[in-house]
Amino acid sequence: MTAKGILVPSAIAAKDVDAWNRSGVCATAIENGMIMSFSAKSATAGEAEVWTAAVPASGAGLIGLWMAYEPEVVVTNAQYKGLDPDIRNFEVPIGDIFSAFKVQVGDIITVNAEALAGSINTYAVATNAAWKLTWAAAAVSGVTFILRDTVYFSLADGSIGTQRITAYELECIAIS
Amino acid sequence: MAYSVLIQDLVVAKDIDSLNRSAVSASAYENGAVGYFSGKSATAGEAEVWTMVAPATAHLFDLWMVYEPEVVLTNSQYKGLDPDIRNFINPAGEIFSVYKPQLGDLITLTADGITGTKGANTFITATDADPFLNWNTAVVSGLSYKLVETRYLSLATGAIDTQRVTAYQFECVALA
Repeated sequence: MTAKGILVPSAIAAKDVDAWNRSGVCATAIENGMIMSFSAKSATAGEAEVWTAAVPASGAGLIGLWMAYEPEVVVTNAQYKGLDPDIRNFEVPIGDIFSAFKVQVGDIITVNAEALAGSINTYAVATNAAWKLTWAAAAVSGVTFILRDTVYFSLADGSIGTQRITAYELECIAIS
Repeated sequence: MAYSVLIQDLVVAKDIDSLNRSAVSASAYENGAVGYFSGKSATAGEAEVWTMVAPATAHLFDLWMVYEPEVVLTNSQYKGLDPDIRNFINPAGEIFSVYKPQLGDLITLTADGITGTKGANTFITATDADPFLNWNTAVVSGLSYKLVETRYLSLATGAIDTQRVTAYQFECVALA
């Protein structure tokens, strides 16, 4: 199985502001750390307060985006929850409701390499038609993070040994 | 005459003290109306009260929105007798509460709090010399909200039956 994105919201404003947290749903499987816009509410019965996630678009579509962050309860064989301790196997299935927060300048997050597209660079930016932040050499007019540090995640994979994977600490420096 | 009704569905100011202030105006102000501060009140005893004026062409940004608990004043002297919050207005010269809108705020307003006709318009925006937001076809370079959905408010009128009035939920999409 391909490892999925992992997000640790190290210090984010949305932890203290209710209005910067929403529930989303999407026609695409969503990984933690993916970014999106919420332009309309879901039309599905029972989802009156759920927003439909859309992939970032060019221009103004890179502004004011939201980031997926759902507790990593892995579903095994599409039915068993909690059997798999490796959070790299977690993603939100199509049509399932997930949590997202509105990114703010100054937010610090830590993500693994799988949460980012491209090759490591100085910035991670919102890009047209890309769910994941993309490594870039410069900031953009839209959601932009700057690389602050290279760190590690210690993960549980069910084996006796420990496991560390490379992760990146990023700070949001622009949202528009 | 029915006055505007505002519901703060999800606003950032609920969690950040500095986005809330007390204001006073030479004009009566309804909940959901907006304005900017021309300075602090010069009246004795109002050292922490700001003087609010209607938006101006050169000042459609840095606006604050009125939100005062709806305790209706009957015959200019009796409070709490009238349960219909559509009869609530902040009289000229009385101190009321305001908050500073932020991107992503969700509010619900009755039609009485919006100038113009909805028609096919999907935005409400700050307008010169008008304390009410105006229906518009697009955002402006100033405070702008996008229509999310048409909904209802269930109000108490004092009658035995119930009463629903049409209202609109908006998301703040521009501040300047």
